[in-house]
Amino acid sequence: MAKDSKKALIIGGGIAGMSAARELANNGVEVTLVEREPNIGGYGARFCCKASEECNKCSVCLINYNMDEIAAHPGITLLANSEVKGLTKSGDGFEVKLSQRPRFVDSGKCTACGLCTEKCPTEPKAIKLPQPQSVPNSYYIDVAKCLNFQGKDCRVCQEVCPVKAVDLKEEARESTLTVDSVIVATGFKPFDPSEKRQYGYGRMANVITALELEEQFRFQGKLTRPSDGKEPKSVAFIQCVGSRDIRQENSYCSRYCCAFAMRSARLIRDRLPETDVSIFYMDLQSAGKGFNEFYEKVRKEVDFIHAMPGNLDETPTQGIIIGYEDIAGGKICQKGFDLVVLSVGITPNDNAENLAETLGIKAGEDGFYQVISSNGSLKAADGAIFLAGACQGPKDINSSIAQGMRAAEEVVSLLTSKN
Amino acid sequence: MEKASSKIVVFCCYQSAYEAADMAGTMGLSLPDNLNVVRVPCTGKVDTIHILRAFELGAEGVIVLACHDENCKFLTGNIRARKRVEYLKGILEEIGLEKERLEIYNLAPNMGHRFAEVASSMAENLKKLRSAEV
Amino acid sequence: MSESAKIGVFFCNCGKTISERIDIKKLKEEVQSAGGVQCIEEFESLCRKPEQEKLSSLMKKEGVERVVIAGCSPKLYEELFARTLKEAGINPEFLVISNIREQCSWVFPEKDTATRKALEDIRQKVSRAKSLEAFDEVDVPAEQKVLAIGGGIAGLETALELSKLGFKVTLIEKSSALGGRTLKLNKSYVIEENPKDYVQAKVDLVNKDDNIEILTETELVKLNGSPGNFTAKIKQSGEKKDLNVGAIVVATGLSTRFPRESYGIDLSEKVVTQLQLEEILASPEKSDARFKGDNKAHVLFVTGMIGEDSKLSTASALKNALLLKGKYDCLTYVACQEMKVAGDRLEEMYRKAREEGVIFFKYNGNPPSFVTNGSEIKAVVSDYFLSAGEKGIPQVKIPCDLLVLEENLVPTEDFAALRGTLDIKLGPRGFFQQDNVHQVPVKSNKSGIFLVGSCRQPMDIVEVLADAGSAATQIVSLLSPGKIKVNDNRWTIEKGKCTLCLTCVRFCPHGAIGWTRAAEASEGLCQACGVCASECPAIAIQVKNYTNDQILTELEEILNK
Repeated sequence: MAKDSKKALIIGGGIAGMSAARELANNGVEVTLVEREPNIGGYGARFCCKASEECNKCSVCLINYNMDEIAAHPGITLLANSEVKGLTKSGDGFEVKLSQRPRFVDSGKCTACGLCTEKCPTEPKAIKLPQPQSVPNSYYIDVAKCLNFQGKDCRVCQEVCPVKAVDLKEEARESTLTVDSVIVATGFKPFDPSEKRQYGYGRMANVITALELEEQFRFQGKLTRPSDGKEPKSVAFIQCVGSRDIRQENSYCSRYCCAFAMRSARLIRDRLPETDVSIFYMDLQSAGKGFNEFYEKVRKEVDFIHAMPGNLDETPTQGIIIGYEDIAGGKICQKGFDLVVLSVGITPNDNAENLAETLGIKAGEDGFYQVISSNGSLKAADGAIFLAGACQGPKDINSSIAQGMRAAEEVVSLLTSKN
Repeated sequence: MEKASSKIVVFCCYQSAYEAADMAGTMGLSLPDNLNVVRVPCTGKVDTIHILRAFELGAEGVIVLACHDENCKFLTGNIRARKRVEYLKGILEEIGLEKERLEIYNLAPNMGHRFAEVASSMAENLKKLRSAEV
Repeated sequence: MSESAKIGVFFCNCGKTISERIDIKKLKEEVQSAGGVQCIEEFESLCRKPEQEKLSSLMKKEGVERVVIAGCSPKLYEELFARTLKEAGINPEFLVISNIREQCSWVFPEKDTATRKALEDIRQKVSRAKSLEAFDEVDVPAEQKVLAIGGGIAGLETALELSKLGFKVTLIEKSSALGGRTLKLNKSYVIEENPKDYVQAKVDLVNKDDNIEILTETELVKLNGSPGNFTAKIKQSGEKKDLNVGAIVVATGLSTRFPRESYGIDLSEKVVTQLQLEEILASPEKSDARFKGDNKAHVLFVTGMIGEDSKLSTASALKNALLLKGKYDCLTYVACQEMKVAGDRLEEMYRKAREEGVIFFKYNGNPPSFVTNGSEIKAVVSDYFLSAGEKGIPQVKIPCDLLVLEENLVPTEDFAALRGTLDIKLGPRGFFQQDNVHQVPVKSNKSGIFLVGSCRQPMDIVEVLADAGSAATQIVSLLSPGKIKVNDNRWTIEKGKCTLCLTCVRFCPHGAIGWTRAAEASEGLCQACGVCASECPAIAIQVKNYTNDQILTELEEILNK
């Protein structure tokens, strides 16, 4: 790598973007990492460790390690709360227009001491850390909850902040940046299961999504039924919710969810040994090494039901009744569960289309971004724009890491050849 | 100043449990106030002599917090640590100490709750042992 | 050990928030009165630049030699403070952080308790600071050259990428030609180009590339050294020679094995493995001879019977069923346990296959059986979804003109030997690379040795390319500075105590320990986990700054002795 420094922009601070950023920075490229949310890590930063007695290889810990590395890396500039608004070619590189939404807390100053939250008069708090273990480790103001933004004369946080990091008058900032290369790693959005009415999401309190299960374990350290806060005695996972489903126009496999359900099932059985777990599935998809051996272990602890449920009903006594076809027995069955987890699929990100237009890249029929050639390169346009991770189609953490690194390598290789 | 005899020494792997302890603090979870953390790069570095010496010096309990099996950054440090702890539990019984005074748990860096849980459970167990003695 | 070193204890009150919950004034007095600490100061927010500058000049002025910083978790700013120490001319090894925020002030709501806990921790850290030993980082020169083992797509792609990044590569291949298994494949589902042409194009590029030396019929026979400086002994037609390389890429691919025991039927003209079918289809002559004609051939693909968990066999079955249907109008069937579609384009191919009339059976635990009668083969297949309650599952007999059976994907034959030479650890099913997330994606247990492609886990071409890129970028960042920082003398042994029992050699997870008259570790490979030191029955080994004495010192302080 040439010593005259080259610059790269990475859009998206999930695991693919973080892997790419680290590799580029380790190779002497000046990296700006743009993240739409107030903290990096993506959905993965909200997932839980799924180890039972042993590691079940969910790789979620890698997201923590990557976040720590990014936070400490002197070669990476992190712009949270920011989005790319424009991109124009400039020489061999690009001029990028960025817009940073106000955070109202200067993350360069905030020491995450927590005083503001303590003194904030609203409940739930309006000024807070995006989540425990947040990078940047800085507070932000949730405008929807903040009294000041509802016309009240409250400036408690600004007044108590010992380092004067809070600025309630902060405005959005536009900036431009010249870079030699861009990596798009904008990730995905989980499928919204309320679109599938038969599964009762939104109507039945005890039907939750995969992400909600992850968050319960990560931030509460346990699994409970939303209706009454009690530990569930029986849990069902329903696979392929919004995946492999032509009616939802998501006719692809989301790849992570079978392994998610099986790992989570082991976690539940480890934490709540009295709780029965069932998994309703279509085809079990392999993930990781030695999957069959893993499956054999899970099979001893979990009831696999080879059927897709028809409908769910809520009853006061039996919990949620799942109706399904017992195929071997040739009859329709019903089974009650305390908690139902929908293994929701991966769908293109909210603003995927707009961003594609801004960047001049293409999305396929399914809405995921496409590379321009099928020779294995991650190039997404004629210029130096590359793709990495789930913005390009469903991926698990490990594949996203490998792809992030590959994209970084392609960037380094391109920038080297230009010298 | 509290007496050494009520202290719990926690050997924390810096890869996992140390960060979990931080997370517990960040979330404001309550922890026993007789916990003292010794940071180690890997529980593979916690020797039998360290644990025995802790008891000899009057520690009431010792917890070794390692990464999960097959998740050790150094591959086998956690497995070696578990072997040593299991061996030492036998020794403790031989010398007349309850084996519950020594525990090893596996933690991931994002398991703040689990950290609080195992710390409190050790404190509880020690309390029970104490009242049984009386 | 140094009892006389000048120690500084620096408090960060974190914008006065720590001092609100902890009585820092009292802490300062206690530390002062305990003695042994020469410099005590309180700062407002040490993570901010101006405060660090103040700290730096104070340390310089006072001649502080060892530093305890009491503030937030070391997970946040330890590296930053290490840099501050370095700038102030203090060895960063002499930094200890006392975590009085995350692990004290935020945990204990009562100020007295929090203050007591903070004091305990600071005392513990001061005693540790006193016991620390210096060791230096030394630069060792890094060879700008890489050895790649295996001339298949993984080795070729990694070599090409490394060459583009300015590195010299020696690519060794045990057979007489480059290209590997991909040359046998007829069509890929993830890349458009014919795999044969695709890999041939890579071979041509490699042949033309001045940065890449190709040695066929060559094997690695011995390996010494550490990252940046490996010495690889290679053997080409009986002749041995030494190569000096900075890193090693293992890209030996995989092999297949037909598990006759699982199917109870022999391979024959009518019974072939998936790879054999690939080879037939790769040749238009062979496949025309086999499938062209007025009699539509019945072809049954079977997957999922032999405990394989890769999507590759489903992909191959879908791809070839579609091809035989489309090109020769064969009657094609696929019997599978599971439709493994977690890969690029697979669901799309599955749908297309159904639309075009490929018939699928999901046997769900009731695998097909095969009946032979002379040269005739019939497969008895069931489908779970055709279950008829008490009547059981109906069975269908399919006369097979061709039965295509999934084979096991296994490590190549020379794996055991190569593993021994490289001294790296194997993972599930005997492939290279353990199943440990810290090695994701291409690391081995030995630093400087990277595992690329199907030698670590069966994968498709696009996944191999991602691996190759991952390895290339890591190798470049490892070697391109031209030197590698290695700790000098962090690992120590009392030679007189070593009885050469080699316990440490066996337990070292990183293959870092060898021996001559006593055990000795390569600092380049050692990762300072301390497993060897803990296992050594003679207590001969110590890893600096986590020595027995140092840990015991901390324990003694905690327990007030």
